[in-house]
Amino acid sequence: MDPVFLGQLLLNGIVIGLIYGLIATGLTLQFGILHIVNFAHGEVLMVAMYAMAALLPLFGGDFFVAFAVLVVLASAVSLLAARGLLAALATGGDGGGIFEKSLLLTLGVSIVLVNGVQQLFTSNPQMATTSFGYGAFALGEIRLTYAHALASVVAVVTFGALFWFLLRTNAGRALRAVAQNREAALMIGLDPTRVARRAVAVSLVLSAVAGAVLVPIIVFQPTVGQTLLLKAFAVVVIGGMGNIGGAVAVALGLGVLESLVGGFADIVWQNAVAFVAMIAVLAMRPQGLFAAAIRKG
Amino acid sequence: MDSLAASDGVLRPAAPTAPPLLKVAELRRSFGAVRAVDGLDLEVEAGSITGMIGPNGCGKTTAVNCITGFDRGCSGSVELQGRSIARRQPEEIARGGVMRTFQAIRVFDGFSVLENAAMGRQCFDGLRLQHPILRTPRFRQVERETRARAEALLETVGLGAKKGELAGSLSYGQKKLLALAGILMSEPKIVILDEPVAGVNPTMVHEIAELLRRLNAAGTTFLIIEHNIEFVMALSDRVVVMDRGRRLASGTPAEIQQDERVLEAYLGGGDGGL
Amino acid sequence: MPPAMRSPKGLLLLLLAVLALAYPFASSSGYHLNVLTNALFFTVLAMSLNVIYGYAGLLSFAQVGFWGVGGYVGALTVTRLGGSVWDGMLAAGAVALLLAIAISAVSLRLSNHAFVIVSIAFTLLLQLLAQEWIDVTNGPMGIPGLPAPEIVLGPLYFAFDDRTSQYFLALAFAAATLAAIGLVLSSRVGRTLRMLKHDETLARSLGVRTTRWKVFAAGFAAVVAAMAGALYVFYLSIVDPTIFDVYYTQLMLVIVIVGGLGSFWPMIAAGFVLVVLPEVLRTSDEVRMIYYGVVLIAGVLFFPRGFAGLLAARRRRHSSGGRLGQPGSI
Ligand SMILES: Nc1ncnc2c1ncn2[C@@H]1O[C@H](COP(=O)(O)OP(=O)(O)OP(=O)(O)O)[C@@H](O)[C@H]1O
Ligand SMILES: [Mg+2]
Repeated sequence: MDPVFLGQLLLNGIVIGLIYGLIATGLTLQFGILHIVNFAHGEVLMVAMYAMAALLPLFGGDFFVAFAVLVVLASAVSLLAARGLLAALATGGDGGGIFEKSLLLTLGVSIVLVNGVQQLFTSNPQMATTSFGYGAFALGEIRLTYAHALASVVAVVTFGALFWFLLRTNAGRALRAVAQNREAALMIGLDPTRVARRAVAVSLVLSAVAGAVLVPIIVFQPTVGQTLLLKAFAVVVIGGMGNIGGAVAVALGLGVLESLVGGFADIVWQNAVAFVAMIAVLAMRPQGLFAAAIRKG
Repeated sequence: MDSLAASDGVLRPAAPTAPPLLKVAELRRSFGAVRAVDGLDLEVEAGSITGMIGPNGCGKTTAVNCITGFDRGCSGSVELQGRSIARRQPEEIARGGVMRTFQAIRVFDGFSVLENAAMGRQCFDGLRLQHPILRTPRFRQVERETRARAEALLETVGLGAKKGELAGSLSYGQKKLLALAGILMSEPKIVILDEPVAGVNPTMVHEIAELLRRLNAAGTTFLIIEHNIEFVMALSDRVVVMDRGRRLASGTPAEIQQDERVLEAYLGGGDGGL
Repeated sequence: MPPAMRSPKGLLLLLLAVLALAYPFASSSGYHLNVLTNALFFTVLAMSLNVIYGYAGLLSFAQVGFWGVGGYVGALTVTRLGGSVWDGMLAAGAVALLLAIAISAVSLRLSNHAFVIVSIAFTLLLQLLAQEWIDVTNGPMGIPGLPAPEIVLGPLYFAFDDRTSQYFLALAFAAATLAAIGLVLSSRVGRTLRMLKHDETLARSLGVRTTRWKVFAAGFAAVVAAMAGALYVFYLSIVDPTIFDVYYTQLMLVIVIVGGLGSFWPMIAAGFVLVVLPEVLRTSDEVRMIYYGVVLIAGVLFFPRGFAGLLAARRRRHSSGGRLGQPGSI
């Protein structure tokens, strides 16, 4: 076996895995705190990609400036969106609980966004040119493009910030407290709505960051978010719904596995890996994965 | 079998040690560090009204949830007529003849009072799936019986005039009566009532007591959990006192009222509801 | 007088039936007939979702999966096994039933939420299979050239190979399916399913074997969706992976929510309105999806009981609630 080829596959897999991780942590965070599934989570990424593609030319293709502007914009929009989502979840009739409602509402939002963007920009594949073009680091014969390297660095820094936030700040501790035991958190005076709003906003920003770093890497269409969300969904189910550490680990594993499968087996199996793994987990260890987070009723 | 035994004219002595209808032993359930039920023993004799009292939070509702299978985390033995029903699914326990009401009262708000009552019998009338779907003659026969029984029972609990109304429109006390009528539809072996008169106005308390007495005289066995001591003492054949998850004392109402440990538990326990 | 004509509802039904039967003779537009035929299929599909979600309270994203399984099993039965279209429909129903029992029995042991998650995973997996299992499904190309359904009864032969006859076939299928569903749901079986949705704990305390009933609802809904899917692909004369498109999920949900979860006639009406209206407005596919998305969001937020809920509220205002105690409603 060619070690260069293998090394290249591993490296690519890690980069993709980190990006899956950015999407999946947000998804799992929302589930952990609110017991909701956000079908529009991938559309946040998609919209961020289109926004990034629009911003880049404004700043002469300078990725870093565009990225900074995007993060600021995304944070503001995410806070508003989180507020809106929570208000919506609290509106209206019984409808079978917040879990069902979140699925229906976010499915509606997802479809409006996908088709809205399609209507505005057509479904033609989009590409953006950035200042660093196709340059790459060379590690021996293994290549790592600047874009991939940047995505990895951003993802690692983001995870670092996320874990620091969750483990070391009061807001993060409050978040974990609510995820673990809502009633108890209420009793010690935490405001679950505020905590939930923060969690949703953070999740959405994570998804937008993933979109931004993907722009120089892939060609994209309005359905890009759906495809990636499905992967992230599989990651979340496999890692245990609501389990952030699990999501990051599984995302990395999936990225590497997909990359290897794509390199050594028929390419069709690459997409199947996530779902085969998800079905296997659901069939064999559903208790183990669900027991912690999904409660009866 | 029963009718044959009766008609052949042979008197059979009752089994010397007839097992109690319901026998609970060493029942346990903890929530983290809280030992909600902590080795409870309990017997309910067939044909009796057994009262169960005890301070708030002593584990009465938890015990009922264990007995009726709704709480899946309990250990210990539960026997109905000598046969274990522990760890069975709640619907199977109900089908076996153990019916209960809920402390936080539950009825199907969006259905009529009559329908709510009828629902209490639908799992007991022996009809298979095709009968209601195809509206077979057998189904229509059963439906007539169910309707007649529901109307009679609603009349008995004083809801006859309300049968066409939505259950959700009833008062709190009326919902309790409706829930009682519903579970009586299936002629259960034992009826467990979790606080049947809490929050019910005094006149109605009196009526419910009368009703339970009449139903008991007609053969229904009751296990009644209540904070209203007068109500329990007046009604029960035997009273069980629960404290901190276990049985503190049991006996006739007169015995219980004399029992020092009980007095102490209640007086010492503070908010015992006495 | 036949019973159907005694009530205003019966009369309305009769009128609808006459209209539905006479329409192809009054209009010669193939386009209009196509729209109506689609409305029939999608209304049946939506009704299958109504059985499991509207009645039993289990949100399922597997219905589009069963619809697609039905399409593929139906097509393969004909093209690979040499069966008739009717054999294909039966096989579709049987396969869907087995799959539904499998996924619901496993997931419901955990919780209703697990069922939702598994139903999503199920549909994703099927979509992937349709795309990638090329030996069987022919991949993205699909299986084209499916034959028209035909009836052979001794010397009698009839092929449903034009718009009009296919419309009548769809009409007969929809009428029979909806009637069967109506018969089941209006009996106390429907009531039992609603008991699960409203208060599962209370239902169990009355002896209702709730898990069995949920599996029943899932199986029933799956069979209906799969048979509809099977017939639909013979109408299209092709099946390809787009049969699993989120478009159908969206459409089903919108119809069920706008009509009213757990309603019958209002849901059927919603099915027709929501399929026909975008055609009348002649919107592009994207704009139609945006409409549906907005309607879905608005429905969930502001009319969670849908059209049926509005009707019921009106009726209660006008008759002070006595209706529900009518004879035979126990
Ligand atoms: N689901 C639960 N989770 C955690 N603790 C519980 C739960 N249910 C009950 N407990 C605790 O178990 C103990 C017994 O509660 P239970 O409801 O059985 O008491 P009870 O005797 O019915 O009280 P009351 O007279 O107020 O109805 C209490 O300390 C209660 O806080
Ligand atoms: Mg209690």
